[in-house]
Amino acid sequence: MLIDKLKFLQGYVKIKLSGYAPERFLNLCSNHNILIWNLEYEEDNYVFCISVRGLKQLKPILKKTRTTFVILERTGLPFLMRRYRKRKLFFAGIVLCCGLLYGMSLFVWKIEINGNLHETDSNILKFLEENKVYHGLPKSKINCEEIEEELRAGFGDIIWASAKLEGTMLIIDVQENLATNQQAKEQEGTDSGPSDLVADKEAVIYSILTRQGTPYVEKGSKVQPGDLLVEGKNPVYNDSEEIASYQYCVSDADILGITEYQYEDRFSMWYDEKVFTGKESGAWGIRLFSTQVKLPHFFRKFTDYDTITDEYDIKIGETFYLPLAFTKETSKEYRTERKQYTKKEAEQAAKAKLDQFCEELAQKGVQIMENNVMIITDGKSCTASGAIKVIEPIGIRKGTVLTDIPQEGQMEHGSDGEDN
Amino acid sequence: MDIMYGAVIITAMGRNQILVENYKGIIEYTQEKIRLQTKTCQVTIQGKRLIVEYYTNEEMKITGYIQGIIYGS
Repeated sequence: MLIDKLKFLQGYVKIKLSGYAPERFLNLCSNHNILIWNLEYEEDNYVFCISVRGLKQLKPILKKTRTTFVILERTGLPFLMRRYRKRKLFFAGIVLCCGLLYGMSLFVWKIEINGNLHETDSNILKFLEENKVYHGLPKSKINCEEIEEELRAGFGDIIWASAKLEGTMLIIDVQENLATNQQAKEQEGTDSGPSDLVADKEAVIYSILTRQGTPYVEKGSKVQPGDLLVEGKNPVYNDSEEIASYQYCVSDADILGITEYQYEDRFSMWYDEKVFTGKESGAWGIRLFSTQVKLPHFFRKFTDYDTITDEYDIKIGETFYLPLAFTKETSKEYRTERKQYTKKEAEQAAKAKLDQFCEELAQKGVQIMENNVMIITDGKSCTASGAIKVIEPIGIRKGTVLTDIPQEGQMEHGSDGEDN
Repeated sequence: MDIMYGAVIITAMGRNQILVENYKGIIEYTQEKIRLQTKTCQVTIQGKRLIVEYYTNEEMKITGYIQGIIYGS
């Protein structure tokens, strides 16, 4: 088999020999070390294969034996090359293409990020760029473990990261920590020492349920911002019904108060609407590495238009991305028209906005008691304003000021004046 | 391994192949008869549709339908 390939590489011919003494010819051939094969005898002629090199050495032998030959077939690489000698560039092109493909495969051309919910792709990509991981990076310079560590350290949200190389793609999977934010908030209150609950806005107390601490307000009392609602201080009485000392705790209570939200929304009756005329113009372009080449738009340019750009990455198979992409830019023309809301439309729009506001409040756990918002339309603008009465939880935490009752014979512990 | 120096070596594989080594040259070659000259004697190979697969000065291979190998002088 191998010898066959060798014979093909060097090239051989099949010739028909005729003449006086063909046997002498064969003997002379072998004496000169010329290899012949597939020798057949056909009616006074010999048909056999001989290598090209041997063919050249045949001339003196032919003369000696007074024989002649006719070439029947030519097989082999030298003949092939001669046939395509005017096509050298074609083959050179094939070789260059293979070389380029191989060269391209040594770099990373696409970075894909999966699993990120809070962080945007561009954020992570920017962070990676700062750490010298970018499109066009040679594969040998990528250290997957280093990237994983950097991602975990750089973003507080990311608790697990994995980077792997597939073809010319760098696939990064991340897992974000969803639970921390909530837990952190809840833990805040319980870490510190005894605390009170004070009002954060003006309200009328609707209901108060105290679990820990001493309540200072009751249903119906009006409070202002900063007023003490529940104190984290429980007085301890001694036998003579006097306050002996205080027991401190973290106040815990559900306080609902009636507050008012001021709502105001105003918009003009005139508005601009984008009406698409339907005319579009497209332009194709190519992106190679980082440079972009764009063909100009064929239609005349519009005055107002929206542009949508599509990018198609070129890849071989699933993971072998090339640094080449086609871009298609579509421009859609639009006309701005001045339109006016009718009274009904304006009222509907205003009501829709109001409803959305109310729904947002309801989602926060707020109960709406009264809705006193009025929608007024005049020729030029539409206004929705008024107050919304709601019942919502009030009370924010504030650290308790510690005091001690001075007892006879005992020293006062360092304390600030405290309102009793 | 004792090689009788000068003698022709004929290796027959089945009825279709013969390998011949240590010969001087070909005397006659037709489709039915191949006559070889060796150092000591002549060898005639009779058969039908005889083809020489390769022929060098050291060895040659004959294929075809072999009917007989005759030694003559």
